[in-house]
Parts: sequence; C-alpha cells; structure tokens
Amino acid sequence: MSEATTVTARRALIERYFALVGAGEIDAVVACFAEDGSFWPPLAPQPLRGHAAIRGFFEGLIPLFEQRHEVTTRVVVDGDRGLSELVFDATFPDGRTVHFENCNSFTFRGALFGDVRVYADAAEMRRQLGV
Amino acid sequence: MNRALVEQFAALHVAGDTAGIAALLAPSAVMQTTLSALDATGAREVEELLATTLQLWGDRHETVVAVLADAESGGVESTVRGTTAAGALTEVGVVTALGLADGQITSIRVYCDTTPFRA
Repeated sequence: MSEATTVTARRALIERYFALVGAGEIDAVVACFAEDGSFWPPLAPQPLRGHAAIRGFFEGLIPLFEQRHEVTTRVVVDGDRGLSELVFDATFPDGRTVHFENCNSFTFRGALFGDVRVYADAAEMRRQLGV
Repeated sequence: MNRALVEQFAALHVAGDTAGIAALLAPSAVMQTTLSALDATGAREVEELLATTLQLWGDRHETVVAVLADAESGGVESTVRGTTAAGALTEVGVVTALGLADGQITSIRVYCDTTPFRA
C-alpha cells in the first residue's frame, strides 16, 4: 500500500470510529482497535488495555446520555500517528447538558488503532459532569 | 515544508521562546487553550497568551512525544513535567493542534488538563 493510500485509509478509520461512537455501535467501535490496543479517556488514571476494557468503557458511556452529538473539526494523519479535534455536546435524561472540546491522539498499528489517548480538560469535564 | 514548520514550533515551545514562535505566526493567527478562558486574535495577542500560559509554571520541562503535519494542519503531542507557579509538582499531557497555511501558523489550539492549576 502506498503512503498516500495508507494516510487515506487511516483518516477514514478515524472518521468511521467517531461515526460509530456517535451511532452507539459498540462492537464496531471496539473492532477499530487492535486486540491488545489501549484507550486512555480523560477521566481515567491510566489507559484501558484490550478489547474487553475498551468495550466496558463505551458500554458505560453511551447509555449515560439521552442525546449525543460529536463533530470532528480537524484530522491530521502523519505516518503512524494521527490527531483529531472533536466537539462533543450531550444531554442527560434529566435535561442537563455538557459541552466538551478535546483532541484524540491515535497511534496506528497496521489498519487499526494501537493506542488512542484523549487530551481534554478533565477539571472542566468533572465540573460539568458534577463528579 | 509543513513538517519543518511544526518541528520548529515544537522546539521553540520547549524552549519557551514566545518571540520565536511569534515569527512563525500569520498576522491574523488565533489561539485557544484550555489553560485560559480568554482567546487570542492576532499574532501579538497570541504571543501574549503563549507567554501567559508558560507563566503558569514555576519550572517546566517539556518532552515532545510526536510531531505531525499534513498539507493544512499540524500537531505536537508532548508531556510537561514541572512545578506549577503555586508550587505543586505535576505532569500533564498536552496536545497543540496547529492550523497551517502558506508556511505560517494560522491557529493554535492547546488541549490539556487544568486540574494542577486549579488548586
């Protein structure tokens, strides 16, 4: 595969991943990661490793909100690394809303994510979430 | 060409050289950061905001983890270890996303946790 083709495929994986998160397609979200891949969400003290741990995170996250809206504002892919800026708006069942802006860092392993880390202001997230 | 620009930005940021970064900015550059409620518009304001955020640290040691660039955008992923101005030892992961055009930086968006600075 040429470098340009690889970059195109990796950008597409990032865009597909966020679309799947938005659709709540947890099996397909998890399948974007390598079997031993890791995911480090902003409020976690350390990365979650492996499909089971990553699945557990999204199974907890997705039902939290009545409505969610994610918009990817910028994607950069360079070699085996990628960055994606994201704006996340959501509404809880009780009507409370949250608005987060973050940047996801991707390390690719072949055609999948090896590691994903979300850079965000955890202090602001805790304030909005009331935790 | 953009990779060299982003690498130069990263090196200047590690050194805390805001004047050097200012020389890389488009005149209409903008900046947003989780470290400040205020946004900056224009190269002079961006330079001032960069300086303000660097002053949040008493001492500061930044290690660049990755530099990325494509035709329109770039990014720097780094780890900053040090002491906050309030005296707390801390380590934070930082991503600086860059908009690029015509060999200049048009936008800077900094993403990091502000917990160590809210004590």
